[in-house]
Amino acid sequence: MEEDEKYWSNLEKIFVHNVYERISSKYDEFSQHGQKKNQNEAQNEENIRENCDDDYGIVNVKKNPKLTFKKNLKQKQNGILSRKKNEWPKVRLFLIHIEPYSLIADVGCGEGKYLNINSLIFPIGSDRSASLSQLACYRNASSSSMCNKNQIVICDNLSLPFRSNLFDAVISIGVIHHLSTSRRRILAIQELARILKPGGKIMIYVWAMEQRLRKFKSQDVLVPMLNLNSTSTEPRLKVNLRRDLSNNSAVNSEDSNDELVPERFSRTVSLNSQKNDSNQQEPDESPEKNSIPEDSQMLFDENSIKNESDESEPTKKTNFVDSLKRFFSQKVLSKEESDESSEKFSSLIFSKAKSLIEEPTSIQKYKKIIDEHKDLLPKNFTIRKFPHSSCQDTFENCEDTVDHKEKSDLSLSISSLSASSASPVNQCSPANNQTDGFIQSQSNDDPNDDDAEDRDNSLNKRFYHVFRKNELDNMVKQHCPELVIYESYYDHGNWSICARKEKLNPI
Amino acid sequence: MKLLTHNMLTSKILKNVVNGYPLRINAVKTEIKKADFQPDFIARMIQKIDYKALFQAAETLGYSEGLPKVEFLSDQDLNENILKKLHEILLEVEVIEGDLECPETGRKFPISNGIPNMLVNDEEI
Repeated sequence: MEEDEKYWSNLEKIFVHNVYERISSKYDEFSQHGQKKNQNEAQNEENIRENCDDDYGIVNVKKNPKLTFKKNLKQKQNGILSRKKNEWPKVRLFLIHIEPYSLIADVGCGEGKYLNINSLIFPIGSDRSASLSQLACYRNASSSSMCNKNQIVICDNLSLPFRSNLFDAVISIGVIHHLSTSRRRILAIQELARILKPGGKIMIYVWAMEQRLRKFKSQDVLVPMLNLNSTSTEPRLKVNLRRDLSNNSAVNSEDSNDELVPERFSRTVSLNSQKNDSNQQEPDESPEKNSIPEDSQMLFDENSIKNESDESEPTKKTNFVDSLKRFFSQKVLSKEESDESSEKFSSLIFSKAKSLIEEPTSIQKYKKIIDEHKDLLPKNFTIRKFPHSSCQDTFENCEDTVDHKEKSDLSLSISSLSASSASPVNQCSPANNQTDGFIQSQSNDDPNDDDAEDRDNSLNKRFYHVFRKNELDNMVKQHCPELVIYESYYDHGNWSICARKEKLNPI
Repeated sequence: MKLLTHNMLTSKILKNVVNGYPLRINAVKTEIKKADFQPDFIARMIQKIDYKALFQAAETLGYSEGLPKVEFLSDQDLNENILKKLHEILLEVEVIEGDLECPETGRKFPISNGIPNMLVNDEEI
């Protein structure tokens, strides 16, 4: 491999492969709160095979091996959530409409969420990550099905170890945008086309540069993983604050799919009054104890977008005041804290909040209010900077009414998402070096530096090349002429194409 | 790894390999796992698979009893018994531990927990 190629391949290793390995190897898919892997894996496997429900297949093996998803629903009230389905509807449709008894390939299958949607087709998944492949293999293992165990192959999508012209259909969802050069991306698409049989269909999804509520500064970005701190047993509040404080103005009525998926940001203000158990290996909420991180990164994770593709969830159009009201009306303080002070505080906030609505630069003032009444709050409650996306000028381009001079003081803490995020994510601790945007700032490709970068990648930043409109289409047209695109659209922040491989003319 | 999957795999990703097919199976641990019998699926898969490779693989694992050596010449050959036997070797036999060997270079690809690892180093492609 040439020197140049090595650099890009190393980059992907640090900012894609290692990240996925790290996060997936720590978590047992079948536990609800991302607990550490069970030592007794053999026991788990047995339980999984016997007790998985076909549709969802996610069972809380630890609590009760006999539990099925339906029973899990009842337990939701106790704060125990089952893993939420997070397939994208159009991908699901594509899979459902594949002819029965077909052989399909899911290249970059990850944890295998698309492998068991259509039980009449036989999927072979492939992924580069051994840990993710393991998760995919044991997912939805059911003894009464044509494919009683998911077939996964660990391989690189630039050299697929499959014979050519084999598969009836191929999908590659959210994979190609992780490749760092356009040559590699083209190669990946060519490989997908190669293994597809003539007349077969292919579907590709890539993250789009054109997003509704955020603006990527460049096409090559590093996006951190969110902090899914579900190790604490404290109940967590989830407050859905509309990202645009000014009344849904960012909703694009033309894109009907997006309307069902408001790109709202879930922000949880953690009012942990107790420190977490020392049993937890990594410190929960470590940013809380530190000062405000220097860089602001937007609360945005690919998965958080994907999660919201569940169309059965009603769109919540709450306004700021209602959200705050709800937030403060829930009692989250522990018994040691005085209820009185919290009530005092909440009524105070509520009255102030109302006045905040009228004023455009409200966030700064909100922060001031909280600061003023700090003594009423539990000890560990701190206001943290509002994390931005990988681009610094996000707010300048948004319809948000925040004064961008003050954006560095924005102050809502993002400590965790709800457990609805399907893929387990790592703890988030403030990174030492916040290189905004692409890795161009690194001029050194010394292998030692790569390791250092990997170690420093505590936010689990992942590399993405976000695609512009028509970029994927043109790539396919130019470099894979055997693929004829029959559908090309924008879906939930992704560019997508469906194409058919041309049949060879009979001689 | 089922034999259906194995039938699709090739080591052509390695450099200097012409065909890289079929991969030889060196199984350490195998198991049988029941699966629903769908004759239509088996009939479809027969068109995709390389029968010779399948037979070789089944033979290596010791499941080739009752299978014809030569590929079926006509539809008459595809009676229910044959289909059921094919179903068994395609979908029910799983190689859990072992490795796959490239027929040309001898390079071994490990199989662990039923998942073959076909990742290659930079120097090998």
